[in-house]
Amino acid sequence: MSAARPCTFPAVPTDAPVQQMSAMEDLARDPASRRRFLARLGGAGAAGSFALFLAACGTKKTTITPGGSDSKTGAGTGTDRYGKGDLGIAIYALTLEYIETDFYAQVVGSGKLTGSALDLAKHFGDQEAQHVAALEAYVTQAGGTVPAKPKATFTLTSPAVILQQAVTFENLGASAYLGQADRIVDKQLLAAALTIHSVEARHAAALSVAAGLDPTPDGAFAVPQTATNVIQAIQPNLVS
Amino acid sequence: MIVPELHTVEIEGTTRAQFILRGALATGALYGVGAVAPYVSGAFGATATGDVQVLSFALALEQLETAFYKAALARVALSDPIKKLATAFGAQEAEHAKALSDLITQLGAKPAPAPTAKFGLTDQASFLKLAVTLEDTGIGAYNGAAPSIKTPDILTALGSIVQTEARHSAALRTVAGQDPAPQAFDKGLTPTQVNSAVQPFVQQA
Repeated sequence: MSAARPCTFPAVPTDAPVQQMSAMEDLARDPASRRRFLARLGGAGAAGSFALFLAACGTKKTTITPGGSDSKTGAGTGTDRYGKGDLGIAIYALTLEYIETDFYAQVVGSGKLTGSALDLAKHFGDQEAQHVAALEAYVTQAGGTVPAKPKATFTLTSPAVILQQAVTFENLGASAYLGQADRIVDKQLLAAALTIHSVEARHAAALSVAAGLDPTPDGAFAVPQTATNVIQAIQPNLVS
Repeated sequence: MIVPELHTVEIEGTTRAQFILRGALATGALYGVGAVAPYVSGAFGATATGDVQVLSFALALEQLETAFYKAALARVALSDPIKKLATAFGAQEAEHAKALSDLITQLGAKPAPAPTAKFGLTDQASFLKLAVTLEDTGIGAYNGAAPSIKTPDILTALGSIVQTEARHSAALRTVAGQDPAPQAFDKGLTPTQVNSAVQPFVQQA
């Protein structure tokens, strides 16, 4: 297991292709330019094929503005409750990381795990704490307020039950990050979210193998989840 | 970490992306997986004048991975659990390659044919070493390239693929007795790092 290293947010992201950012941001912000882009692909036929490809990825998408609302209905897609746009997304991700960090702390504290399983829980818990530190730094840097840590309870009755829950939480975490990827406007936050996303996926797969489960339950294309679905899934663990 | 098997990887191809990939893999063998990411990001950075270039490089990587698993299953005696993983993962890499190829076609470009590749596979241990390196390279590649993608839908598609690559790496690392998540962040790199790192390879190409 690698040693824990402190990580401040600005060290994480890539500042790659800055010159391409404005075009991309324009495209992300402006539904009209996105339509023009799709039109350049060859009109409705290409857009239809595109939808097919995305269907293969398991996404059922609505058009979403970077601010986090459905552009047709104006309905929030889940992160608006945490704040507008990227800041809301960052606070949402931070909230999930708080819950994951708390989960591993409670697991380690329960004394139910020993040996390599305990080592894994400590290692992953340490990495979740590094994700927390990075996201807290981002939220503060972006002028936001770090939220209160949610209180959560977990069923920690046996190693098997703990492992099963860990797989569930990590799969949920990975799908949560993937669900936000195309909604993030700030390149710094996007790059950081990507670097965290694949680590959550690593956790999920390693725990799945340990539990005798399929490390790629979605097959070749991982399925994203909306914040609304993710929050609903963790609701039973939250103490209000 | 030295992976001698990587020196035997031969890719016959004329595109610069494939050439740079070859260099990146060799460098990974010398300096460890962590060193691969800048070179691969550099490959993207040097060619990413648009989404198609990123997709084309990703396709070359997926084709290489597909060929790798195929070769391993054909030539190496693998234990049942590892064979099961290799079979599933190889099929998923082929799905990635197909999806990327279709997407490139939709974007009005022509997908490159699969590079011809040879792998130094002798036994299960060499398979695991090379598999982990290839998968980790893929993760660094996608994470490095994704922020330059211009189309949100393509970003989600690549994110969906990189999550699967990360799962492959972690599962293979677990069965190989390695740390499944050696770093808290699967990092991308700065353009400065990328430029200086990729320069020798670009010149040779």
